[in-house]
Amino acid sequence: MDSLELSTSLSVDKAEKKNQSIRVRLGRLRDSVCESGIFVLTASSAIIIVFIFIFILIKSWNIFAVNGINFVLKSGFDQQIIEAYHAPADKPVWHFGALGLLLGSGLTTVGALLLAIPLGIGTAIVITELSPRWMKGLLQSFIRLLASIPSVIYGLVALLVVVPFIQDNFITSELQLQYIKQFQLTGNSLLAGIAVLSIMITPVIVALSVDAINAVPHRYKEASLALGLSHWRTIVKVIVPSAKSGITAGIILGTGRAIGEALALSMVSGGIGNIPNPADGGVFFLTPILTLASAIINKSESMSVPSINAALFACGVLLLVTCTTLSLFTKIVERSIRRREGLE
Amino acid sequence: MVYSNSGSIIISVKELNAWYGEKKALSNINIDIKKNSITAFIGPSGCGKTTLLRCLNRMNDLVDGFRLTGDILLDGESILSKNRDVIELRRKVGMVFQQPNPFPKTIFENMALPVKENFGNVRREKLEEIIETNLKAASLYEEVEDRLDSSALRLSGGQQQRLCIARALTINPEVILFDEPCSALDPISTMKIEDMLMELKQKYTIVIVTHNLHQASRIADEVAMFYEGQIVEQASTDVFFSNPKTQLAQDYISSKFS
Amino acid sequence: MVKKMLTIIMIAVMALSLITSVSAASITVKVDGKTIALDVAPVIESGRTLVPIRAIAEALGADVQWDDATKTATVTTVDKEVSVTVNKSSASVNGEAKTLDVAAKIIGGRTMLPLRFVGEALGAKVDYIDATKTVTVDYFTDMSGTIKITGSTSVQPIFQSAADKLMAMNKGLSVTVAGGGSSVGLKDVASGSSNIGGYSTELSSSDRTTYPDVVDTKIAMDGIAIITHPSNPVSNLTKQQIFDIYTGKITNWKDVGGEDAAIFVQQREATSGTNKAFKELLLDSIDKTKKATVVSTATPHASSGLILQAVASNKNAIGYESFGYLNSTVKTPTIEGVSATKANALSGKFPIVRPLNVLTKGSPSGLNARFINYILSPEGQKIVNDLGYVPLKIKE
Ligand SMILES: Nc1ncnc2c1ncn2[C@@H]1O[C@H](COP(=O)(O)OP(=O)(O)OP(=O)(O)O)[C@@H](O)[C@H]1O
Ligand SMILES: [Mg+2]
Repeated sequence: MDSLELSTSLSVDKAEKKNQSIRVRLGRLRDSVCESGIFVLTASSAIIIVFIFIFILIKSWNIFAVNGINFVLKSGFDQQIIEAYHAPADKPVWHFGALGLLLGSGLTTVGALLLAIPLGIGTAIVITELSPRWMKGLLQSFIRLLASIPSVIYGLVALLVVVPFIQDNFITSELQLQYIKQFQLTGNSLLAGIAVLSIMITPVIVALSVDAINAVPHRYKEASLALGLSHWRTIVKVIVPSAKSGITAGIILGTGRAIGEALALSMVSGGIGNIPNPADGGVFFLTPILTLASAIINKSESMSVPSINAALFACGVLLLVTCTTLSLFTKIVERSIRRREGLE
Repeated sequence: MVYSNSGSIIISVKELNAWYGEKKALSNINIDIKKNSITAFIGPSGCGKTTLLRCLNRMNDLVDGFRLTGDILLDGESILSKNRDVIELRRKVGMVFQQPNPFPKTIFENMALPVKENFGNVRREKLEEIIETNLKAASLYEEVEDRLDSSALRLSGGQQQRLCIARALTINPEVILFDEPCSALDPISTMKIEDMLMELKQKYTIVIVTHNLHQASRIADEVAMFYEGQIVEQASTDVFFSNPKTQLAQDYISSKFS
Repeated sequence: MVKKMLTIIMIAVMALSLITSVSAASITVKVDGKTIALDVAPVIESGRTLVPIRAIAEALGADVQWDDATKTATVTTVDKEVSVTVNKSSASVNGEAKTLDVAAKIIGGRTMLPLRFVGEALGAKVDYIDATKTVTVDYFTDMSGTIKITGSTSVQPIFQSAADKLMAMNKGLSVTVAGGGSSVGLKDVASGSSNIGGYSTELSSSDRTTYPDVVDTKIAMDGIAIITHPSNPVSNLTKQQIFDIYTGKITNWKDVGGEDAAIFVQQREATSGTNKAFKELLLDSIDKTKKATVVSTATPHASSGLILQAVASNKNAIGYESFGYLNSTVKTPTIEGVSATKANALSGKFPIVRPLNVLTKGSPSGLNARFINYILSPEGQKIVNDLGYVPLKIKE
């Protein structure tokens, strides 16, 4: 009796086991199909990116072959475009120098980051730590909205508000006369570019910082408060540092948007690739400038001329290289942060 | 000498009632905590031990909808009064949580942060000295001596908890509150922490929440048993375990010891 | 006595005409499917419809001239010239004598021409539908074949719009429009590799001698106005002053009679047609070496709207703008005392204008001529106007 029960239960067990092993194997199969699917997708998008890069490189190759390193060391892009455009077809102009554009992109981006990082993190702190619960949701959806507004809207608003503001408040007619032989002080300037960019990227930084701060475990906050730190010191010393990698991601995303922004900047930054001179003092910020991305947009009408076409693709190469470097750099920074925190 | 010291009362809870929103968590709590002693809070899950503990350094201020009536005196002064400086209170009444919660920083930074924040910029040698002393007091020093600059999150659970204790000691509190400090630890780590607590009692007043009655009987001087938001029995450890007065305590002890 | 006699005769003539010509108030005339509004109703005489021709001819892109001395009406398109004299049965088409079965008449003081004859002489298909009492004239809806167009990029948009409209109306018509620049248009037409060439300026006399059989026909004018902020006190500029401002020689409004303030030169991007036209019409007309370039501090703008906005919002800015985009947000100072109006552009008085021409090998004829006539028709001239150019035929 006993042994019988035992044996039946054993056989049931066996059947069950068989079933189970089939299920396990099916599950494994499904997993491996999913995995290979994801692998194919990832690989193909990587291949597409590589192809884009190669395509742009080929398109611009002649520029680098002719100009070499001078492409990033010499300036005068605007005039070179005009010369190239009017050059007879049998004597094309291949000499270009994009230093002004490179500096334009660099200065607007750095300037915007200097404003947007403190503003963005500060706003994120206000939203997560200092506002009552009902306001949090409201503020957060407002920030998301701001982050999703197309850049042309920002450009338009900046053109109608920021540019006249700069003109009315920072520029005198004497100053305009003093500089008219070098450039036009009209409000369309590095400063306007920085302003519009910082307004554009702040919501991005805020949105990601809010998520990062919300993800900081509550126990860190409690530990800090229990150690006699004030709420404010807890934010500064524990919460924000613990959210570092998320905040960094926000900053990087913002930087990417800033470097790649073309439309809004081409509307307010002046449209000429001047190199701001620190010796000019405050006028440094009032100098009209042109960025790599804006140049591609503004000059794209001349793309029918082969040398201009190549020069604009070369600007694209510079943009791509900058962005790639940036994201590699981010990966390194992020990894080192995580390593120091002991998360890896 | 030690005995007479432990006679004086440092914390005195009077007629305390507490609510989370509509839900009452503590009712009519009266308890005195003696200086340089270990007081253990015991009782079944959900009976309000943590709630009371967190009232003692006002950590419950963080909880939305929490409110209380009654009073808590620290050295004869109310800690609940409007103009009481909470930060100063928390410096006097430190806390070690059930889950080890080191910051995601290096061991050194974990220790240095509260020192710098509470005592301003101390000299490097002084800082190192404070850190060393407190790590030793938490009997962690030998284990981490040569890796102070690696992340605290890489320590084992027991080591992390001792680090949190050491960190709590850096600010020189009068009272340290422990909320089930050993619940996540193995017997050896537990023993180490128990030894350490016995050691710390010389300098600090200790309040500990524990589910482990063996632990309570081993280390506590006083025991308070909670049930459904009330203290049903409170006595010195010897008396409590040898001669519990209430049926609830008797049942709880026998079920837990059997 | 004599007066009375005359009156009687007049009445008799009128009565007679009333008998012979059946009043046809209900007859409608449709050109290319559209009903033409006529100020005098058509009449049918001996089975022929007589109409006041002007409105109908113009719809076909033709001009109508009336010679009161000889009582002759002449209807001209780029390929046809039809003359009809009142009460005469002979007419001429491109100089060739033709016989009319019903002569033109003056009825009630208005000259009435035989519609079928004139229409068919111009090349249109004319039909009478008795049931609806409708005369249909098919001209731009009666096109088939292929036209190849190259040349000036300034004229290209006009060609393109016209081609799109015509191809939508004619299944058998295929028009290809490409750019290449005016000189390409000239060479292509001369060599016969395209049927029509776009040419955005006057044919030079040397070009005329090199390509003697190429004929140019003006279809529109392109005028460029100088624009400033409405508050700018400068009301007139000379061409030389504009040249000096745009080449950076003059940088202060004071030097051209304005306030003591910097001049902010605005221009279009290098590729813009307006930019090119400005250089050719103004800079190159002063500096004949054609080497003059716009000062490098000038702010380039990507569109007509943006340069307008830039000038409208900066009280010391100067810019240039195609006539079609001008509005009241900016001021247009006179140039050499001539104000920037379409009439002045048409008459050639305004200094920064150029004709937009079409080139054909020999006088335009056949399908080419009809394409050009379309551009000269009210519909075509509306395209010209909508694209920002100055139409040749302005409706007052
Ligand atoms: N933040 C909170 N919000 C609402 N109710 C809470 C909150 N924290 C605790 N409570 C409730 O208050 C009562 C007491 O909880 P408390 O955490 O003090 O119990 P405890 O004795 O520490 O239990 P354990 O031994 O399980 O830790 C419980 O019923 C619990 O559900
Ligand atoms: Mg608890």
